[in-house]
Amino acid sequence: MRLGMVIDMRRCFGCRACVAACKTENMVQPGNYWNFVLEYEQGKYPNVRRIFVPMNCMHCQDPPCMKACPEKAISKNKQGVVLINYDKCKGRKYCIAACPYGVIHFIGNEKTFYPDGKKTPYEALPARARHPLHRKKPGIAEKCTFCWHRIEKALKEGKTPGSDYDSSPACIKVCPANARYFGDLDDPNSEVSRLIATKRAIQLKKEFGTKPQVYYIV
Amino acid sequence: MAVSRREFLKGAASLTALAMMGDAFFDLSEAEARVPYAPKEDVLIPSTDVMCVNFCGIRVRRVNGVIRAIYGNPENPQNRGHLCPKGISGIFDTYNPYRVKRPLKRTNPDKDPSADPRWVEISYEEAFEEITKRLKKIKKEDPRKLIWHHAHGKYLIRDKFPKDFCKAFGTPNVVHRTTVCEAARHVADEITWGYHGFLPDLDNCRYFLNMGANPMEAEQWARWLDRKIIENIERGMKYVVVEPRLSNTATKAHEWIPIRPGTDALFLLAMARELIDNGFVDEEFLVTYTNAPMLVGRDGKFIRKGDKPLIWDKKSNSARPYEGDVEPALTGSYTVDGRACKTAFEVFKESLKDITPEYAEEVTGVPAETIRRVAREFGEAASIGSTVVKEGHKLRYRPVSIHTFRGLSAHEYGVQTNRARMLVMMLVGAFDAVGGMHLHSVYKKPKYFKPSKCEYPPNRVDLQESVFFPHATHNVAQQVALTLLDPDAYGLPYRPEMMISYATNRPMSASDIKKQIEGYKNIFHVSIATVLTEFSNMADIVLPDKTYLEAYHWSPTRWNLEYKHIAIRQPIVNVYNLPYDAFDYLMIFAERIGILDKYIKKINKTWKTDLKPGRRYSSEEMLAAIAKAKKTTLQYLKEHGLKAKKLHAKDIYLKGVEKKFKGPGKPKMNFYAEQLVWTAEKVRETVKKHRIKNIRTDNLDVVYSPLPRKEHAFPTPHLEAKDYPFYLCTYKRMYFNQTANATVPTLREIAHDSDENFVLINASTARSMGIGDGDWVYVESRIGRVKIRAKLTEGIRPDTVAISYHYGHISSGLPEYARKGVNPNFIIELHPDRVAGMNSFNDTKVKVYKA
Amino acid sequence: MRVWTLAIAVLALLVMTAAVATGASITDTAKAIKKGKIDVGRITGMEPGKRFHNIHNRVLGLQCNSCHVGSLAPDYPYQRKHKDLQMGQVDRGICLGCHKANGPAETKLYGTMAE
Repeated sequence: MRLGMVIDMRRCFGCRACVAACKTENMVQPGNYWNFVLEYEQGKYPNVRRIFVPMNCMHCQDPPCMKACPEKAISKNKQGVVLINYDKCKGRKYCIAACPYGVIHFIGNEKTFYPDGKKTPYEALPARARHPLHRKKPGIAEKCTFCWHRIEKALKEGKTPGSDYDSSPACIKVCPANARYFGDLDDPNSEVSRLIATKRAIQLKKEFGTKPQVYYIV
Repeated sequence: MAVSRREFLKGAASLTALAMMGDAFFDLSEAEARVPYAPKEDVLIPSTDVMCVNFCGIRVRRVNGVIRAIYGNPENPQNRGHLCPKGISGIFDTYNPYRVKRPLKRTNPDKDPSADPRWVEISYEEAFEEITKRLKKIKKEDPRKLIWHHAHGKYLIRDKFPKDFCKAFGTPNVVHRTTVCEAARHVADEITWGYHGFLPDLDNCRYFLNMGANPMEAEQWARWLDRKIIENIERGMKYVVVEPRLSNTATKAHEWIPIRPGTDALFLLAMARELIDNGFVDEEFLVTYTNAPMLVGRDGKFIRKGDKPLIWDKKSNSARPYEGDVEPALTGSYTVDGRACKTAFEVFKESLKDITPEYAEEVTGVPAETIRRVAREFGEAASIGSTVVKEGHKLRYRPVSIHTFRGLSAHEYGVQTNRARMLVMMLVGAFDAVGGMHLHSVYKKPKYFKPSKCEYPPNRVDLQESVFFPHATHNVAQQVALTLLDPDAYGLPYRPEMMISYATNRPMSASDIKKQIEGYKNIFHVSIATVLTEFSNMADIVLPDKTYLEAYHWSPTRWNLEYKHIAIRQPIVNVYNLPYDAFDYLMIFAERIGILDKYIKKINKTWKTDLKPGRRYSSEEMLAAIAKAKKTTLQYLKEHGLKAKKLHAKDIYLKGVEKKFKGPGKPKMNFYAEQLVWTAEKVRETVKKHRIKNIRTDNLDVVYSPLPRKEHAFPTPHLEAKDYPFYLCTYKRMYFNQTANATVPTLREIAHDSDENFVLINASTARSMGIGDGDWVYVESRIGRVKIRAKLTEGIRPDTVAISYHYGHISSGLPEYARKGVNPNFIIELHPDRVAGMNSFNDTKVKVYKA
Repeated sequence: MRVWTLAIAVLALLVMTAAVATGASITDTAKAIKKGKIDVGRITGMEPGKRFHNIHNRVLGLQCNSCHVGSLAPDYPYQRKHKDLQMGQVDRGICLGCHKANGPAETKLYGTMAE
């Protein structure tokens, strides 16, 4: 199994639901993002378009962050998901330097969502009530996990990742444009494989040889 | 794809089970493995969103009694599990440290919202005592002295409860906010086909013309329209957007046509002319369903026999009522009883004589060639005369639609501009046709076809349906403050004394904010609120409200062309242990002033419930009673969040114009809005009789014209503010809803530019003025100026600038980070639509210069 | 993240000093670093004064403006909230030259381009 994502840029209209869903699902503190939408204009008035590029971890088949990490804290699991082990991470930031996509963030100081410095009950949930991937701390790097906590649960329940709302990363089925797809790139019959086979799907920065597992339909 | 309720519960249970098993897939360290994921609770609770006006189905994930996440509910036919960032961020709307947690009483007499009200916390008892003392006094003297305001409140507990409360109390003054949204669209609909609300049949549409609606960033039905537009573009639907600023909705279009703000009526009229000239006219539709064949006399009124308007019957070659075996002529000039007359269609056709695409180009800035091409493409796609069979029904097939929201509505001539849209639709016969525009509850209120009574003196403080706004059937939100400033100027026969506001920030959402604020300083104000917005910060007493994640609500829902449904909200948490919400306050007030039984009686009538008088009811009991009346149970709704009903072809295509307007002997869709001619006459008489000074009578024939005309493309500032070179338009963004949720931290950081707003200026224009991206500039209108950062873009007309809503709070009750940016309403002139009372947000002209 | 506005290079891009004028010498330097023959410090880290900048700046002689180029083109696919470069944001194309599979650097971060 090699999990991957397809993002249809022709459909995306820049609403940022994926950004919000990711942020709350993964308890990503202010200033950091596991997912963000790049936005820019193309053309001259009146022939102008706005382009939206949602960007999360590409879960590269050949991830430079993994090679760069001096602590060997980054691994790629059997399902092709690249994960940072928060216990091993020492915050050296080499992964951040190596990643050509800018999708890894460093947790400097712990920040609360509200500027009063007090944690909301949501932020104050104890370790036991958080998946290990949401037990973050200052001084480590963090990034998109393809919502591994959801995928892991789906696999244990015998469900196919990407097959329904809760077996997909939080950014997928929430997308109002239906612009995001998730599934097994090794399965030629999966929705993602079929989209890549039939549409014009590209990977970002192929020249880096990272072989991203996130594809963009353009 | 849909997750069933069983799976919700199963999912919750197995999550815990899973944690016990340990973690097979993730290479956890020893330390982490020792603390498995083992929450005391992990459940998904279905409910309904109300962070905006789309009422999406949600599933709230609660872990250890804490809202952990909000997901979409795939079973909801409106949003199908999709959510926008606001809905997802509702967590922080509830876990908001800036919420009102106790009843508050002002001690500073200075009511300016930016001043510190010097609140003191009071007990509920003290608050209720003070409020009911005043209510009792008013009720005895003149109950009309009480005003109830709501906006978002309508979508929380529903407007029916305050309406019934006010009926039981005896005041007509329940004021909602529609005139700051799309009231002109509604009123134009009502005048034309007897009710309001429509949806394009996108699944069958071939040419979709969107005149400034922006469902990909805001507005009603957004979570249905956005998806349908995107899907049907892929199916092959042509999608064209006409608007001055390239919205995110326009950026997905095949074609963006940047039009000068406020001039859309001429674009549409020129289109109508092109359609007629090129034979794209559905004569059968016009004759069979509309009043286009009615005979119009020189006075603009129909020629009648008794009270029946006449058509020219081609069979008998005579003028006859539209009854029995007649064959009405669509065109032509006739003489009836010595009176010269023409068909309404003929009158319209002749009125278009000067409206060439070249003339329209001068005013709208849209090239004549583009107007011709759009008209031709639209006319061809309309497939006039064709039919299609769906579910065994042979149906008219007109796969073209013109949609709008604020784009055509937020103008001085919003009603007339919307009428122009409908005339184009009628020309090709696209109403209630497959692929056309589905109308909601056609001819539900025959009253809308009648002239206004032009009430004077006005009964309501907002002057609804008075001589000032004769067809304003959706309240006139911005007028209340102006009437309070000078009740005599409007002939109000009483002095308002007390106002209760519920989930609204009225002064910030209307033109000319300073005047709004001044008006509301003149009244004792009780505010039911979750945060101290400007309006609440002006109140004398503030009562804390529960949020939508803390209360039981019978939620409003959005129907669509596939389903309709009912839905509830249910409490997930109660963060500050609040004992009451707005529903409870109404019950408490009613009980204390002795109108509880009367109130309950009215509730029973409205909801067809069977509550026994004699005691207060909780919102949960209320929901159970409504559920029973709707032949379901609250338990079912608590488990599913909603109950949906599939719609069929006959529901969508055969219950509207086909049933109500088709053929002889039936009322007709108002191609020609004759009632406005009568209204104009009545306005003139009333003004004369009562010597009313503040109503212009020299342009009544323009304002209440039975057909849209070129004057409707010239709002007052365009004519008068000659030294102000730029058109200012306003817009809504995805990140916030109206003036709400400014404190939600995730929304402020969700995009590179979501923390603050800016004035959009065309990049070339800005450069020629020496303005760079991010520079501070002044934007100045005839009523004031604001200082704001410039954002250069190719996506706006060179003669237009745009400022979004949501930003620029001034309330001292909001933290500084939530007050960034500028509210454009400070500089927007108020020239309300005199038919509907609609606020003219997109007609102001401005200067722009470097700060 | 703390905003660290970078000086925009006005001078022409001065990429390499004499020490790293040719690929061969980069390879040699890289090997030497790997073998510990050149002292680049013991503390692994990105901050100036730690190994990363010691290697790239002190030993290899890369100037600040060789990597920190001021602003990225609007369509440059790099996750960022700001138009101008923030701390740590560098056009990774600069890294690619040395760190590709057949590049002179010892740490082969990047693979070969897929077909």
